[in-house]
Amino acid sequence: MITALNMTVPLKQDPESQAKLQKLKEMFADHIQPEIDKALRKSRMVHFARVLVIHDRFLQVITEFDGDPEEYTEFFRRELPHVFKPIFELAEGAPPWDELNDQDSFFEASKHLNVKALGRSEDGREEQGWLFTYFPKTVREIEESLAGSGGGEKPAGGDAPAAPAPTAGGAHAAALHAAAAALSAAAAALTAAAGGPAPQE
Amino acid sequence: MKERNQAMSVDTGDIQGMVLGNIAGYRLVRHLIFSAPDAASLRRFVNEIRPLILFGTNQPTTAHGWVANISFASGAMAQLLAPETYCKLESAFRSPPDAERIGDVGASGPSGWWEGQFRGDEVSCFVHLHAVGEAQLESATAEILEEAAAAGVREKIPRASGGRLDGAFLGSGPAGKGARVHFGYVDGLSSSKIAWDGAPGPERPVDPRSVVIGHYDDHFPCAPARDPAASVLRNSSYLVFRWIYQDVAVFERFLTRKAPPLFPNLPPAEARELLAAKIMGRWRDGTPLCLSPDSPDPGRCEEGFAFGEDLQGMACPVSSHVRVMNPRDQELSGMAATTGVPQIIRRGMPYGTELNGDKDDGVDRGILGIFVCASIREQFMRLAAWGQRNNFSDSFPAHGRDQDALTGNRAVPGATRAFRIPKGPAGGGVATDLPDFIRTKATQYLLMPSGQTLSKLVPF
Repeated sequence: MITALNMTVPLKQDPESQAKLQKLKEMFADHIQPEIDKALRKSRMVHFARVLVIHDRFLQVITEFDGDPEEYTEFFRRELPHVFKPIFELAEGAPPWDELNDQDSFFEASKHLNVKALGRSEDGREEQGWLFTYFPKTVREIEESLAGSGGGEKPAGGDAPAAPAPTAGGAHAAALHAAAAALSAAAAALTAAAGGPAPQE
Repeated sequence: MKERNQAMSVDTGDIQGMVLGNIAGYRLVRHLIFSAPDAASLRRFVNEIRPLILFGTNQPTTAHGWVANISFASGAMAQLLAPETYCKLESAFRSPPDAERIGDVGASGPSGWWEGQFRGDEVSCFVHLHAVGEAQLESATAEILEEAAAAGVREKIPRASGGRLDGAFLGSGPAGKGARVHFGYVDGLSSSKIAWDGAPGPERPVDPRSVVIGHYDDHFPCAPARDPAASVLRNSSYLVFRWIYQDVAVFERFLTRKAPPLFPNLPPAEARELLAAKIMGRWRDGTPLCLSPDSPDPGRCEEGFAFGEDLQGMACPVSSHVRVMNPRDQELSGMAATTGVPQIIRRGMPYGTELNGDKDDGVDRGILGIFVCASIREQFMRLAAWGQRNNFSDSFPAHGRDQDALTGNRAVPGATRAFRIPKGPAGGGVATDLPDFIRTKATQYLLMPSGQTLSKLVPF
């Protein structure tokens, strides 16, 4: 069961908040991304993740993961409070972080900010909308498949050597990454078609 | 991550007897369900029966052979609390049960709950009566119903036949002393004693912050998390009430059909009992499989046990009921490694007459389950989700779609309907085509107020 998170945070537009946003964008790659990367790797349940800022008006955290939204949300609140604090401080209408930083309040706020995808869920979860999955396997299954393929491949970005030539398992992983790239390209095309520039990050 | 704060002692005089476990000596239970048209009626009713409620240091009716506890549904809390306090209650409590998340789908879905007699959002409160005998139970019922009628509060009848929800221990003694549930297992053996003095240890392992609210800690999350709302609700508990049908005929026939080929080295009767033990994680007499994997050993029923030496489930299969509901020292993986093993207190009792043999007699039987917790989402819902999808440890298949062998709902999308029993001297293998052994007939979220909370909800 793969679940999509489409957390979309409307951003404050006052000059001070916008300045903080620019600072966050500047420091993301070197300071925030490694922290998120570490937590995602630890979870062993997240397939893909990215953070986008759209026209400085919205910040999106988009991920696909195995399991339940409740457990997922609480995991990241506990693991990454120093990441979510600056994000929620930029959010229009959000209460102060001190009032959000507990299990129930954070879950409710995250749920409120999660945008349901268009379409119909294929596994009956009405709140999800449509999520296309070509390869409906868990991260652990993919890990095992890669290990069983003989390549000894480790997750991307880990301490493994360069990926070997595609095997049965490697081909699956390659297909997944190709699908993600295609989706990104499609999203950019849709944005362009709508008359707006491509997302900045 | 934050360090765990030290536990604190809790005044048990402020806590209702059902949370404390002061109902163990009573063999009968009746759950009376009420609907109040408005806050004034509800307050009148509660005011009248308040002197009858069992608290830790106040046992007003025990001499009469019965005790009463009270709990409120979300709608009643909205009537009794100021809006700014009500909105701080756990969001899961304020919402209808998330049926998909807890596995109440298909035949267990909400559309069939309460036998269609009413909806959960029509419920204001439960009065839980425990009694030593039928006469005492009827006497208590009459007293409560008289007060309800005088206050203008209506009883809701949950059975289409017009009956109430009555339970009784099966067997010769109270829980843990010979009483059984319908599948034949001895009940009440798990070590769920609460360290009210604030010093959890081997004898009393449960931290009170996983039982009562108002003492927020990141390791024991609850809502309200902060004062002033937390102070209003302090020492109260969330309750999950579940009316669960148990299909004993299907269970017994499953044992008969599947056990001999799984354990060909045993006589069929012994094979049946071993399969029953593998499903539960305990022999039917209560002996933990981890301590005595080959045969029951009644002297060890109440001993503590762990799974750290049995990672692959050679003695106790990883999808056995007790192991899924409390994996103890089994290493958790992924997100579960951070969020940990939820602890929950059970106060349930069987209902319905016993079935002899394996032919369905059409009688409704099962368990009136009560789960006491400080967070419905972090404790009850998480355990329920684990039961539907075994995905919280690397000991499970990587697909994570196996289920609790006893309580999994096979209608959950993707469920494997397979129960994996590692091969040992007696046999083993995969029991396929797992049927539904249980069916949810209702799930209701409740709040059982502490004494100080009750006095704020309904001032004297």
